[in-house]
Amino acid sequence: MKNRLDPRDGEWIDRQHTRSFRFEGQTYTGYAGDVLATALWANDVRLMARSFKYHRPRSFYSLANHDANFLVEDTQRTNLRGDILPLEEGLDVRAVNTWGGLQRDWLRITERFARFLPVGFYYKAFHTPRWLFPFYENQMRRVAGLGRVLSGWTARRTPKDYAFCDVIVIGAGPAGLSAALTAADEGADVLLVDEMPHPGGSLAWQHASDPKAQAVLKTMVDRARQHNHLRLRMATQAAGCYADHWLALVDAQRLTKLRTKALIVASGCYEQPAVFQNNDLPGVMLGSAAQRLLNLYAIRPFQTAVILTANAEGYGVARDLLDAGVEVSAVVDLRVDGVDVVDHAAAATIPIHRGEAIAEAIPNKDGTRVAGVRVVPLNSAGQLSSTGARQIVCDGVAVSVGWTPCADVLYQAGARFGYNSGIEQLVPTSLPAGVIAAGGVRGVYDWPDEIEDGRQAGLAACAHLGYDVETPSTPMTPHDVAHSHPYPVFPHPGKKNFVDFDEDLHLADFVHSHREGYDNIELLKRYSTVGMGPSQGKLSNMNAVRILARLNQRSIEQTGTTTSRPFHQPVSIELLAGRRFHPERRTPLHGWHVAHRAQLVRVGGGWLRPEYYLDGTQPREQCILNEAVAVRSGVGLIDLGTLAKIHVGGADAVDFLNRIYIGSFTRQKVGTMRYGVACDETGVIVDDGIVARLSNRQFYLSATTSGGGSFFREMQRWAILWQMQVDLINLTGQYTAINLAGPACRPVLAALTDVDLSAAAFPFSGVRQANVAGTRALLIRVGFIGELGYEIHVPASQGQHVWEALTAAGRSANIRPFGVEAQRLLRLEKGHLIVGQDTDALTTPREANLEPLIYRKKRFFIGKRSLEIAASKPLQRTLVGFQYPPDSHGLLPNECNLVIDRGEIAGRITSIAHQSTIGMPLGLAHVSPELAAVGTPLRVRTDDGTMTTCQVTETPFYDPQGERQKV
Amino acid sequence: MTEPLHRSPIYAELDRLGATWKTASRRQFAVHLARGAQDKTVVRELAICDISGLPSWTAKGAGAESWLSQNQVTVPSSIYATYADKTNGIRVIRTGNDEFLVELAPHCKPPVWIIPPDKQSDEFVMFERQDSVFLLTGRRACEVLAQTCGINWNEISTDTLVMTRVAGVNSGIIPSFQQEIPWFQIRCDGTYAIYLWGQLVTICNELDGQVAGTQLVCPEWCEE
Repeated sequence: MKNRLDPRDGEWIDRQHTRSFRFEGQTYTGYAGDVLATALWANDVRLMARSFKYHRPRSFYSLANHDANFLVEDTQRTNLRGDILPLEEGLDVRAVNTWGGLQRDWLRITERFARFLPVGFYYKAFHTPRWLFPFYENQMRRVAGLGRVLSGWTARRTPKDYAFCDVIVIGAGPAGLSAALTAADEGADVLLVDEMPHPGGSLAWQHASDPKAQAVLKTMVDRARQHNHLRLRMATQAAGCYADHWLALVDAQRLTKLRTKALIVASGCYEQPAVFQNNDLPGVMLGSAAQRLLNLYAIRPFQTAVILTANAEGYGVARDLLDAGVEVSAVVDLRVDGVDVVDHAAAATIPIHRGEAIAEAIPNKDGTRVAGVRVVPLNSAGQLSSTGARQIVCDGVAVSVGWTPCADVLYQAGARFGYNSGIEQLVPTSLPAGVIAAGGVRGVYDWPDEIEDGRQAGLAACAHLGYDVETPSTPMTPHDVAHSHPYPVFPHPGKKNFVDFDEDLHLADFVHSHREGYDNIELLKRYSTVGMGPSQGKLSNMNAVRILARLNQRSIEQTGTTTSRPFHQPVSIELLAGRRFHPERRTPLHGWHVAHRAQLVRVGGGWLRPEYYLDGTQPREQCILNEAVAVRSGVGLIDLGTLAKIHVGGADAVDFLNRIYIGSFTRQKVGTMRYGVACDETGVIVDDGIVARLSNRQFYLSATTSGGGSFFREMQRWAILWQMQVDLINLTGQYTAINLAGPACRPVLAALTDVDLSAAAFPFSGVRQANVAGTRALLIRVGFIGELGYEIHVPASQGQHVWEALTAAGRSANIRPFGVEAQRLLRLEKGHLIVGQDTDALTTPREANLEPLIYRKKRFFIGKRSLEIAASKPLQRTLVGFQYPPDSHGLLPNECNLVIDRGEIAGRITSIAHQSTIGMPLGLAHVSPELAAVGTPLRVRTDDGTMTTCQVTETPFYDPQGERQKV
Repeated sequence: MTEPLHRSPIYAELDRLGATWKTASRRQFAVHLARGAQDKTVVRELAICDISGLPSWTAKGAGAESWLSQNQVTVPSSIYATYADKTNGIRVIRTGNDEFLVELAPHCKPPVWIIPPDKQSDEFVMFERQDSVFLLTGRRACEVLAQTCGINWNEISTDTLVMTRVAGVNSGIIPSFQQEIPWFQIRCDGTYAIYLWGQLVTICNELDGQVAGTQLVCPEWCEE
């Protein structure tokens, strides 16, 4: 660790714990508390990455996560930011976007073709011939870009949580700490977040040599850590702000959705680069980055430095470098009349070049380090003169020419900004209620002023909360001293003066874009992609605005800024995905099904239910057919736990049901069941099920598995809207249901119940309260699948007991469980439709042959008016049955295949069974009315385009008289 | 045939943890888990316990309130409020204008006001609930809920029903303190129980919490 300095007060590293790590296959050593970038710099590694487009050598620039120059990947993760990646033992990473390794990187040849790759070149060059575009796209993606999508990635389920506070303070610098402590002292519940691992902000790195600042920092941090009303959350980004004071907080482990009552943004500023030739060379960095290296990680940034500055902070950098033993060859001050002085004895020896600029950083032999700079006087227009250039030898350049507020959260919170030409910075001009800015983000720079500004912000937040506090009558105003240069941009014919490091955009790219008509900041952004890279323009947007303003000869105010949207830092998809909650519903019989080789299928409503049961080694289709045959010939049982079950009671229950369904229930007898079909206001079928009358005012309904939940909510909505005396209870999870069906089912049930099951005593459509296997049950005689059948509804917890009792009682009759696929086949043979499968979002009862169920004498039911209008118009389509000849197996269509008539679409298959218990393929289809007559041949196109022919058939296909279900 | 016992919707999950079962009021409780928490201190830190055996009923309809009042059951006056009568082990939660959820401590005798399914009145309906009910207890219980639902528990009165979603499942939560320990009763539709239990246990385990039997969490229910 050649560049590591002696221990310093306030350093973030733990020298007691070393960390061994690998970068690009080489092994290095660092300390706990280091980040990857600092550990490499300490080992004198300067070349850390290659740039996005030209594969130029790069290193970190801000050391604060404000640039994306240094991205690495390991076997599991990609695009990790080296300047904030904590150094862990065994870390093994390599730079992204290289071919042949970082040092060689064969793709650096692209820089030689730079003149053929101007901004937007891909919009112009690679769109014709169209068929070649996939090839171009593929090649460009390989050459340019970020990290690879790692196919060996292992999913990590991260927590995602909610949090709440009275006041959140973003930024734990002097203003943020002061604001948080003030609000907490007043009793507010305060959360203080900062993206850095330790609090302190600029006090820690910029004022490290100021004993007074350090004493204040220590006091504030100690108080914050001990305060009962204050929580600190470090290494956490406020990555986005949404309506109603919702914020997204992101750390390495989780995404937190935070709701706050007041928001204080004390996030400071991003230091801005200057635009000069080769300003991206490893060794050129922001002054704040050099100070972070020195004061937080005890690393010597350079051996010999040149400082480019336009403010007092640059002289602070010079002072810190001198203290660390760095030779400062020159301070190049863009200002002619800069008033700052070097308050350090040794500084007197530093040559200061006022009114000059760095025109070019000169690379070393292999182009991977700074070897010197060319300094040129500025003319009266602030541009480089053609004479007077001189060369200065150095191995590093620290740039301190200006700042721009970290205002993303403020913008997203609804703040408006204006340009203060006195301090050459955007500052907030209006803030929404409960949103407060403090410190550097509003142009307050001196740390004592920032502390006072923070205090005032804390009081303002408390006032917003309704606390009885006295807020200052004259709020802090920024000193009228510019900390930013109005135009730190210096054209160079070499065209490697970068404005946006993420996208390798240099000054000429902006000139070209402007020349092509992109003279609006939003258009310029889209065309040039400035600010659209991973760092989201933190180091480029302000310079882009300054450049465009100058090109347009307009002010910054007139030029405006781009829109800040969440997230202003990339957030990994795994954090967004969190634990991935996808609720699953299981019937009370789930365990039994699994134990008996059920093949489960996920159906609507999140339910898991048996599709069929494995039968030896037989294929799926045969298992399903076997189950159906067992029901037709003997007895079977199916779990109907997924059906929606609804109680309707109350004085208006009958009237309510008459409004909900198209049929009538006024004369329905207690102890009977009717089939109910419900429509929406447009007359479209939305659900169906049985309606069992238990007493004069009590009904028990079933509804579809997938639509029952929304059907119940609609019922609730209508009940409120109509102000009817009706009680609705969703019993879906409270009860489970079993359908016992088949010609041999009666004796099976009779063995377990005291109810007389004879046809005379308990006819088809009958409903009985009964005792089944010791459990109170509701029995309903149904015929959905066309056989004698009983639905047995019992409390959920007793479902398995009853199911097992039925299987035991039916053992001698070879009782067999059947799954949802066999049930679909059996009902299809009966021609019964399934809502949602044989109907769609436009199907009316008339189209589904359910018109006879409409009770037209009713004054009102949902959809009545629409159905009356539809009845007066020609029918567009109708549901018909069809059959294929028995020997057509293998050439059959599937559901949703189209019916074609004279080359036009004339319908579609809604249900089809390739095998059936009656020995031939059959199904239902929506077809044009002219194709609906029995015997009409239907031409159906299969998945592979083959045309097949079936014939419209009368339904039901099975037991047309319905005698079997009524025995 | 005798009426079968009420089994928790997560009976199989608890059985896999080596549950010792106890029956009270025809309902089964996992009083002890061989592969669960063994030490009562976990209840103070973070524990999750299945109490789906807690007998409870819904009474809904115009006549529900008067029926309960006639039977000396005090009902709360506002929706989502609860009223606990410790002498007879009853807690009543008002879930609507004419809707009540009544819980009965399992060691107490079944009350006389329960109406069986075949004796229902036309004025209201009463049925025994089949929900899953979990208890989440301890200092870190709020952290589990913070990962699964968006309620600020600091702003919720104790012993008030909160209807929310937990890990995507509609649930009713009643927060309270038992001997100064945060205590959340989570009630959901039993058909979601296996899923929700799995999610909550996973999060509890990540936060160093454990699954506990009712012996540790509700010892009074387990007394002979």
